[in-house]
Amino acid sequence: MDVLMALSDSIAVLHEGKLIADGPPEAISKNQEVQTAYFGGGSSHG
Amino acid sequence: MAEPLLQVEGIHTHIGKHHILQGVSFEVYAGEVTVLLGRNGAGKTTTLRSVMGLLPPSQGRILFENRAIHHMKPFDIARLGIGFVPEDRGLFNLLTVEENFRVAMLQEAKKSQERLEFILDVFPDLKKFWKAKAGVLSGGQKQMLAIARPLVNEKHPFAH
Repeated sequence: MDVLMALSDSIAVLHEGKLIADGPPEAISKNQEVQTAYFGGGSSHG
Repeated sequence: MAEPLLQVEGIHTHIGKHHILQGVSFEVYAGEVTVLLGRNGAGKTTTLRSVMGLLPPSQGRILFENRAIHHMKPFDIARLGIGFVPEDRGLFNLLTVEENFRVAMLQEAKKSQERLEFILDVFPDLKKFWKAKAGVLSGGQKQMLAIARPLVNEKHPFAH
């Protein structure tokens, strides 16, 4: 994940066919919805 | 800010009865690395296949250099300069490394030759196995060939 953050200029995050975030890596890494969807935890994690 | 190279605007894509992409939008700018991130089944592959015309969207638009491409055939999209590295690499295992490059060349020979020289400097293993069948390469070498092949057209690679 660190490599991906270092190499990318922008990241678009998909979850269940929908875009949930789009922006520079530093913003994406702090995005709560991304953390829930991608790393698990929270009510939306299925 | 410069104009985006690729604009994906609210695309919906179905596979059979399954509604896979549900309004996906993002932009890609020249010279930048844009990552599609998501868990298994999130829609990353479907997004790339939609852009390439392999799974045309039922709604929304895809623009490349301000030109609508979402109704175009994959081979016409490729000729615009969008290179695609499929997940399974899509190599012709019974053709040589050289022949795999030759079938991918979409531009004049001189330009392709210049690009080839650059690529073989970056991936010297491919030069070493130039006349070998792609099927006998190691996994890493096959991946090099899959990534290098669309670069021969000097345009806009798209990796998976």
